[in-house]
Amino acid sequence: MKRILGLLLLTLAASFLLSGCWNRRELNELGIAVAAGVDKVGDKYRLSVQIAIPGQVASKKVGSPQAPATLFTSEGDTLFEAARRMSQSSPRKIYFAHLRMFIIGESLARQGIAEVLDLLFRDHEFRTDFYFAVSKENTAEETLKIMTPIETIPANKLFTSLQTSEKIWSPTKAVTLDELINDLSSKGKHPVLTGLEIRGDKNIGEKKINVENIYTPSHLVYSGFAVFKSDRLIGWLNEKESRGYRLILGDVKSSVNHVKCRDQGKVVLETLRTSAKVKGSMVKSRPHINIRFSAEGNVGSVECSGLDLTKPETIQKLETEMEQMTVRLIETVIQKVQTEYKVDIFGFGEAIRRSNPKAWKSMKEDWDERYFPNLPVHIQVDYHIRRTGTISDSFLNEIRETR
Amino acid sequence: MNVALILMTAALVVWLELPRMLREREQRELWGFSVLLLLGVGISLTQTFISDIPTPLILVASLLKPFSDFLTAIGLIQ
Amino acid sequence: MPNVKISLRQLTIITALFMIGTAILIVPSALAVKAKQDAWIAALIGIGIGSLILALQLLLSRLYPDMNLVQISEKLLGKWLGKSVCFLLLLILFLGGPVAVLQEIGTFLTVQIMPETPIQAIIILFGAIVLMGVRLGLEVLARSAELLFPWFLLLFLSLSILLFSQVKWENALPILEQGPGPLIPAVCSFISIVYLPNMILLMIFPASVNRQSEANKAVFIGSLIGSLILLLIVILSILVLGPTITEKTMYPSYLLAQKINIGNFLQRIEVIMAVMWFITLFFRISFYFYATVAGYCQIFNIKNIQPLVIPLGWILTTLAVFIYPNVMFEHNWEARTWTPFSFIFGLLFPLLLLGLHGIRKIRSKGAPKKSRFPE
Repeated sequence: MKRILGLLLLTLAASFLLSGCWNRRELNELGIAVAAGVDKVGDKYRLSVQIAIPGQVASKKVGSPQAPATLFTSEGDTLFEAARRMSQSSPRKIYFAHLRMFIIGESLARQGIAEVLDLLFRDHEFRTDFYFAVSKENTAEETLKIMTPIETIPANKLFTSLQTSEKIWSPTKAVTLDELINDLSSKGKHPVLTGLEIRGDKNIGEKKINVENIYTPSHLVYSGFAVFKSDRLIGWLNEKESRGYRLILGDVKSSVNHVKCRDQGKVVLETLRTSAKVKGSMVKSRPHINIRFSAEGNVGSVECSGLDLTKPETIQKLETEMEQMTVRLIETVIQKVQTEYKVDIFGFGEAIRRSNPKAWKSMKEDWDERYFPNLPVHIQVDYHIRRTGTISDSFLNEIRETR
Repeated sequence: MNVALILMTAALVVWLELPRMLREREQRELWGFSVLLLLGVGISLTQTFISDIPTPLILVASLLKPFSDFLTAIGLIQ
Repeated sequence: MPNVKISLRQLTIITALFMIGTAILIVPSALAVKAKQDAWIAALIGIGIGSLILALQLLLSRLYPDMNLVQISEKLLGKWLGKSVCFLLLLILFLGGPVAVLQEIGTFLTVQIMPETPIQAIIILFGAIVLMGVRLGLEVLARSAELLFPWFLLLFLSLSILLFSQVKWENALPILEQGPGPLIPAVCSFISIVYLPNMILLMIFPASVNRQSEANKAVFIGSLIGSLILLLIVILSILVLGPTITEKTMYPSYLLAQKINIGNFLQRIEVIMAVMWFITLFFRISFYFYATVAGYCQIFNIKNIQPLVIPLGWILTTLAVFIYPNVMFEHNWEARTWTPFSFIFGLLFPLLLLGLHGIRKIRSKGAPKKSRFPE
């Protein structure tokens, strides 16, 4: 009797527990946000969220009329309100845990992004693995409307293209939320975000025509870094300067550069593996920065004749040229930032803090205004050419002789 | 609804524990059991009627405040 | 007291799991708030000082090998004073220990994973498991600890290994930027979270271990395992997340688990990792709770603790729902009240008992007619 009653109670209890939980969210009730963009319109936030349409992504039908993603926009006094207001237009609750890209409109970036970041950091749905970009000249909303080929969901295109170009081409950088917050809260480093541009006619880009032909008239391109003074955008770096910047960070995995060859052509060197050590020191109570940059590379292509790659001297000469080139790249960007923007985006202050915390304490309050603009930076570059690709001497040399 | 649920659970607990204590003649156990159960049911019932019961920790905190202030003063805690 | 025996290995595991408990979730941010990137130094010093304190606590059990904490204090403080002091200490410990930890797990789940679920549901479900475990007795708890510990280790080690590629060494620099000053409160909070509550183990093991002479060693090894795991999680938080993020997030180790990403393939496994915290939190609550029930039974001369488990557990679960009115209260309580209390309970109380023991010993030497105390 007691056993049966006990079993009965157990079954009853189990039926309560197994029926599910409050926070169950079935896949067919969620709108999975893959990209979000924020702009400032007047004093309101305008949030645009790109949502993947699962059926369109999976379907193999050719020429289905619907785009693989859709865009919802809403406005609100705060970002969170705007996000919830979106339920007025979206058929499903928007789920942010799979967010890939967060686009910040240039106008908002110029006014400050810190308020936006607090929500992203505080809310439990946002993870820290999505990337940030600043939409240059256009609003984030316009950027998110562009149709993209190959990766049909634009957010995926933006994510993978940023990831790839960070790996094999130096002037972009994928910044995640925790890195951005670390930079923002550090006194010795200002954040930098990759810029995102629409090339071509954006009015065509919004239409399906954009991806119907082999040539897409309008596309999304990453270009240059946005320089922030704490949380406000104050200017841009061009491609060359952006490359210099990435070199200082020392996290370039692979990139290519060319040097002049015998004043008549170019030799391209493929850089693999770089490392940069930024050391701060105090010399006569003045801060100094030493950058030791070392890289390894291969000869990628030779676009001139008469270069004898079989001789060790040639390689040595190329190495020195490359070293000088790298020093120039690094110097240019430091000079530009020191004179024009006067914000320490390189983390030189952090370097001083690490090596000499006592001296840093007295300097940190007016680091950007007083110390950083005239900070002497010593650059030492070590470039080693290891291999010359699958051939040694270029066949261009023979062509020259027979011409 | 909640009151009924609480009383039912209490009855269940009594039904689960009481027979054995009576059988084994565990006098002290019975006393402890009844006092604690009444206290538990009491707290639960108060909770259903008064939504905002102050936490007992306030009492503990005020009890330990002098010591806590002392530790703060000598810099052991912040 | 029921006559249960647990093995030495089980004792080691119990100690380790009990120490890791809530600490694995909250210790990194608790230390980083005060010591920033030097949190790991604070943890290291904390382990040193904490081990000394643990040795002090264990000395008591060496002097009175077959007694538990309540019996020892009854003997040294006198029957009624000992009983009332223990009553008060156990009451505060009950409120700040199992009740608070039970709410902590509710808060953790509602903050990080299921924000719309009422906290009552989580607390009642988790509380029910704890009750079931404690009602089944120490032996069952010890055996399940033995069974679950390898799983915990597996999850913890995979977390550490999978994160190793994201370590940034410069996050730990500069060492001692603010000087050694901020380390002191950080060390104190480490000791008070991790080491001082271990005193409660004296309620559990001295009378329940089959080879008492080696029991102290087992506890000590367990405490070393536990504190090394905590040290590792502090180091990982600082090196992977950096001091600022560690300090700002409520549960840095959950954020650590979110950071795991091996080749865009092995990622988003934080909820699996959360099983690790369920294991340690379960044992933290269970042993706290077991110790309080056993303590109260001792105080009131109740022999069988089993019938009291459910009623006291009822109080545990109901109190857990409203023990902290909000998160700010929780932080304030932990810093301003729990730390001082744990110093009283884990350091001053054993010191007092040892002092009394010393006085008695001198007296009994002075008056050789009296019978000596067993040692």
